[in-house]
Amino acid sequence: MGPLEVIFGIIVIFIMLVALARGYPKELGNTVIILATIFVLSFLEARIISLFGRVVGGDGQANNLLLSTLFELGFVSAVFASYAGITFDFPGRPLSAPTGPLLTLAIGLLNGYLIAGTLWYYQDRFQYPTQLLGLIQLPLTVTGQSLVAVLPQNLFESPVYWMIPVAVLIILRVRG
Amino acid sequence: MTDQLGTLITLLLYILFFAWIGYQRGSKREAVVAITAVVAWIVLQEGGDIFVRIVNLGSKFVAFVRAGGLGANPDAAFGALGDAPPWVTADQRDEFLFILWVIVLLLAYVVSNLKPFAKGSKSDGWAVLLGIFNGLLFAAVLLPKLATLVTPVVTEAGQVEPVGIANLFGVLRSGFGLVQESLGGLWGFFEPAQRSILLLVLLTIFLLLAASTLKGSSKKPSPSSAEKRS
Repeated sequence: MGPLEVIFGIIVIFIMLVALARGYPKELGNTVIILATIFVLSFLEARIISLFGRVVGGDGQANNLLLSTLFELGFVSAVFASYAGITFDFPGRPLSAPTGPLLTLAIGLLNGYLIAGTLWYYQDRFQYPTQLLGLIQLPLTVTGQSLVAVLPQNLFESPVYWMIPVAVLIILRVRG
Repeated sequence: MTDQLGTLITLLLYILFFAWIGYQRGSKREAVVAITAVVAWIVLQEGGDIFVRIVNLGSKFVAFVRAGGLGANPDAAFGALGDAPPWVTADQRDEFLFILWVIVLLLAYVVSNLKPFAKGSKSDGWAVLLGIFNGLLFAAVLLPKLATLVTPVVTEAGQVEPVGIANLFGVLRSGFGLVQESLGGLWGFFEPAQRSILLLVLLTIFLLLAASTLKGSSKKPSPSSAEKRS
């Protein structure tokens, strides 16, 4: 098992490859869903943790593992829903090469950062509970520690910020 | 002699390149760029201080507004006017004027591509000459700046080694280093709270631009937009 940033880097590359296959009109729709999910989960984070504490009680790594799994499952489910079934994509023909594929790669990189970054955030938020399962090796490298500061949920003071690009994109999508 | 021949060929290639660009763009558009470049250069050299003062007035205005402006106690705001540090200091004057000139030049290229200038812009001998003139002008102004990216290799005997293709990586490394340093400096200029706002604005603009490039998006969404996959 290599450093954590390598694992999440590989996730980002995979998402970029998926984006390249799908094209940026579809990937923009995923961006909207991912950003909205990040907002909802960040908004509810404290409430869910508090409720979980009251219902389950106790404290420790096992609880952290359950909580991180809960948040990550919720996030992954929303991301999966945005990729499968009826997708929320933007109508219109994408730009031709090389601008179109470059835009697709850039938006794929953004989606990859949001997805991998969110999964990492919930590991960091609950003190890396998956190390109980031997999936993560700690301590983080210097690069890993610096990357934690720029994870999506640590980037802005309030999760409401994420809704600004979402609102702009939805307006553009509705306007057609 | 061989060195001279190499330099001559490089110069000819450079001139040919700009002559070709001039021919492609046409005389009218090249004339707009040439006139703008020369006039802007003269104006900025002769009256550059006016532009520096205008920009520094902005710093005073911001300090004035931050201190309360013409509110209940305007004395503090007027006091802040004198203490406001200038955005462009005397040391930065030349760099600032150079950046201003480059911005004007870029705008000239953008504006000259608009319909009124593009219409009737003939690809003739004048276009070639104006293209060469623009190329030489850019070389005179830009090359001294770019030369700082190339670190000359001096042998023990004190001779400067000829620059080969291997130096391309050196130039790229210097260029990336310069971009990284400049962006880092620019990033440090903002306070942490402002950085997140800046990131948010940049992200929103990027997504907006990406979405607005979709052609034919005003048409009724195609069935594929709500495609159901198994």
